[in-house]
Amino acid sequence: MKSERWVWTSSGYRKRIICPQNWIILVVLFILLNHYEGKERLGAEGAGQRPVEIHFGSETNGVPWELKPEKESLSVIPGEAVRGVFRLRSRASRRATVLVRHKFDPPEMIRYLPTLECGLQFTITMDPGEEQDFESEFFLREGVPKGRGLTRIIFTFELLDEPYGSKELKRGRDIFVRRCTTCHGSDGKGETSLAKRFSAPPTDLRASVRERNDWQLLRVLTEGKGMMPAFSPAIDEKELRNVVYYLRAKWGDKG
Amino acid sequence: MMRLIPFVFAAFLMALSSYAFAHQGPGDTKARLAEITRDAPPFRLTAQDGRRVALSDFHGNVVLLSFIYTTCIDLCPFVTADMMSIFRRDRKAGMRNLRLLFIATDPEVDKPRVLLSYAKRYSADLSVSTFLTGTEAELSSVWKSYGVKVTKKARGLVEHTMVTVLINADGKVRRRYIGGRMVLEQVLKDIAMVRSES
Repeated sequence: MKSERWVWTSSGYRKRIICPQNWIILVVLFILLNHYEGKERLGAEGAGQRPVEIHFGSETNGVPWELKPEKESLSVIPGEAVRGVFRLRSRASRRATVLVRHKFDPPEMIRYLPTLECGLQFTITMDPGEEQDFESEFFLREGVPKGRGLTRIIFTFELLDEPYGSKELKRGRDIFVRRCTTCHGSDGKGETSLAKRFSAPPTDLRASVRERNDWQLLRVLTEGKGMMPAFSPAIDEKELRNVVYYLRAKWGDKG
Repeated sequence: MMRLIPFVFAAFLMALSSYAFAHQGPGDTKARLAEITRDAPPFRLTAQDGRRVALSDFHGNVVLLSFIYTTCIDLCPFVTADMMSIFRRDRKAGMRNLRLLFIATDPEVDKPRVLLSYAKRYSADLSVSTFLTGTEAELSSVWKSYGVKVTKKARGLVEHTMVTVLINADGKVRRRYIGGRMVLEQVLKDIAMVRSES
């Protein structure tokens, strides 16, 4: 059986006789190509568009508080926002101030889950039995590697020390926790997850506080240094002096 | 056998087109840039030196625009440093028409002179970088038009959507980078692509 068809040749359109075996070759080629095309597309989209299961959890680190997410898990398509609402409840026997941060499991998911807003960590003070809600919003980037179908966002608690003595010290502590610990950490070592992004790590406050006098410390706080913000005029100098008192009380004196 | 040549050629073309289509994934610069083409919302704000500056003043330049506040303790410093770095690399490649705009999200603190000292701390070249502020009302409408949500937590402490916008020489938004972690190579590729359009 033969069929006729108009086909393009170097001298223009011409009627050509097409043999059945040619058709078979064409059909086989077409099927093969579609097969590979399908695989390729799956590969490209699978890397970017496959939903990722996000589970929420907490690490209390001995703090007698509990965290309950409104939804335990969410299935999120890359390119979408991840919004979680959480309720914190204090089961402690006394008033406590806790620094709440988050981390990812696996940790490399930090590359694909940027927070949508500035405000990576916060402190909450609660009395025994008190409850407070908070929400957190992330953005799931495209390009999540294969095999990363499940990610846990873990909120970690850190009980903050209650400074003895004056209200100035306590005020200094509050400003320090709120403004300094994202980079320097509450232990002053400068080893927080954000700190890892600096090309030069943040100053280790334990040594730096001992090496500088009060005036030098105050100057860094008011004027900033490198990527560290200048906290003046946002916070007045009297308040910043309280931070110096607190740093001094925590990490020692400059003779 | 010669009769097979057109078929083989057609098959080759099909293979090529299907391969190209399959590779227009999320990471493909051209495909990603095709996502957004709308006019960048116009504004007129006050620069770090007190001048009144409009977005339209930058017409003819590729603009990278972001939202920051000077006492930010997490993402704004990284975005500012990343944008400076992008600019330096673009300039090193011989390009001259990239402009950086930073719009304040804390007008209570970020007055022009505060923005000026912030710019100096980042060694910003003020002939190509502009730090903008304004009244709460002026800025609110700009934030809203660019989809930036701003929540004041305390004096000098603000939560705001972290977004950086790439605007082409015709004043069209071509790309939005969400979050405080930009992939510099990708942004540079996007800038080159946007530049080639005009």
